[in-house]
Amino acid sequence: MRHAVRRPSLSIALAALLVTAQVIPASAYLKLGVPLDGRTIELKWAEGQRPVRYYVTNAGVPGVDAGQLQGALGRAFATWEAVPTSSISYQFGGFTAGLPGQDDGWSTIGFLEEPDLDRVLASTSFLIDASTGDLLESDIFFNASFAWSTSASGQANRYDLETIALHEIGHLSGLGHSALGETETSERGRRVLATDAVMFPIAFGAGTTANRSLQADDIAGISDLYPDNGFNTKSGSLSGRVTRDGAGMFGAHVVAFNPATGALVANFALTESGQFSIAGLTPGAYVIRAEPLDDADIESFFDPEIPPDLNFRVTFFNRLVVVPRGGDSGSIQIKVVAK
Amino acid sequence: MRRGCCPVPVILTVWAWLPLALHAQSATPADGRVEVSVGTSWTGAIAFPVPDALEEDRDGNPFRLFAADSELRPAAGYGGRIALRLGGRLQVETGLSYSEPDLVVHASSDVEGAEALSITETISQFQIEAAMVAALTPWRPGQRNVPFVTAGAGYLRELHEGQTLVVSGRSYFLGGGMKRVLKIRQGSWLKAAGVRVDGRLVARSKGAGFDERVHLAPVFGGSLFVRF
Repeated sequence: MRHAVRRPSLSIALAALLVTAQVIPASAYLKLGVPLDGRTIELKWAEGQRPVRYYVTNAGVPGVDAGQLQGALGRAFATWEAVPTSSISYQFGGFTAGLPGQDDGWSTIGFLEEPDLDRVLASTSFLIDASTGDLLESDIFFNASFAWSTSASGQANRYDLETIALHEIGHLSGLGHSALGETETSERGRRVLATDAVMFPIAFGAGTTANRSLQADDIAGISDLYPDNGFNTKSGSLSGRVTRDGAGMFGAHVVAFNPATGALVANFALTESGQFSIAGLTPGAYVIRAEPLDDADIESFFDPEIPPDLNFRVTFFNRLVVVPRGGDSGSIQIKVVAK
Repeated sequence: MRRGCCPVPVILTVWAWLPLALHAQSATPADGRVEVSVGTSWTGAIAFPVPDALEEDRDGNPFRLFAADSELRPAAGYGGRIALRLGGRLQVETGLSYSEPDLVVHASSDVEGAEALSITETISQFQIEAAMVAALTPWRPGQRNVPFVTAGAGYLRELHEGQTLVVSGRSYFLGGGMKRVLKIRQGSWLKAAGVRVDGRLVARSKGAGFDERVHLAPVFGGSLFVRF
């Protein structure tokens, strides 16, 4: 789901099966998962379901006809497919008179008029095989209540369809949100100052084509879900705990910075003991920074009934953490202090 | 953490031998084609420019999350060389050295106020090198002071902290120094003993640093040698 101003919830509109998608404490990034037989499994497309076939509604909106919609989607899908360390692939199945959100077994993408969702630009829903957790269908709707553009350089006061599609296709592929972004709040809500991930939950706003390119965090996430070209043996991971006075810090956002490349990849501490893991990292020495989640709405990442602990200061870990090739750094402990 | 082997016993052995050598000094000059030395060195800091941690604003301009810069801190090392005099003024030598410099990233100016910090790890650095040494004065038996210039190349093998990641690099160096023969011994398999001091300008690339550019560092060393 992509929000114009703020994103109230990560809750994915699940079709057919009322299985709550949730973030899972595994590897890089935030991946979506579903509870199954007492465990949480990754939400992803099985190998037999790939290339992921999608259909585009044959209806446009003012400024974007069906052909332009399909063109923008094609470019966004191609951007995800171009990640050399990921095997995910997609295939345009054709135009359809069907609508997104119908449980017909077709992954349908198109516009829906949703005036009540005045802060939701787009949303992704899933149909899941309850026995395996495999994705069967994933629909994306773009809210026709907003003004859209497919212009190559963007258009004033209109949202760039390719940018928003790129974010939603990340969800369609099984990725959750990234918190790699900075915002400021005002009476009108949050305003994005900067991001370093297409999967940041809040859009920049109308008139910009920023975020048409995947960042290191997005690439780590999709490669972690669908590894290819020896990704798992060529990359490594780092892991550890975030603690305050010895207690785990659930929801602490941990950022790994590679000084050699400038890449930023992040994840959350997703257990009560404050454990985190960031995978898909280029081997090398990393700077680690832990911060509370304060640049997006908590509901974009966590179940509101289990809120993250936000009472700690942004902290650098005092040692460079070495990520080996094909292995893990070994557990580190980042000690933070209360604000 | 497991450390590399320690050459202290070797150094003590050489020091222990020197008084004997001095006692056995002869007025007759002695020769020696093979030279073995052990000693210590000090390598100056190497700065590695690294990018800041950046995000992008809506216009694609960089937005700094925090600033970063990096250096390989000065470090003492130790090692040994074996050299062969080719005749005339020339000597060819090869050596192995070991040091444990700290790799540091200084993180500062955090957008959310994190306290600035120097973040470190200790690198285990091995270097194998080969060099040519040319005496500035013609070699002659019994000569006490030998100024020299040297040039060579080295292969760096560096282990990151925890020894889970190995990287390699190259170094090239140019320098000079002085050898001082303290003892000459006639009729013995051990021909001479002395001290050597030298300075170098080292250009190194790759290795544990954060880029592949060439970086310069001064290196100063002192060693004890014996000749056979």
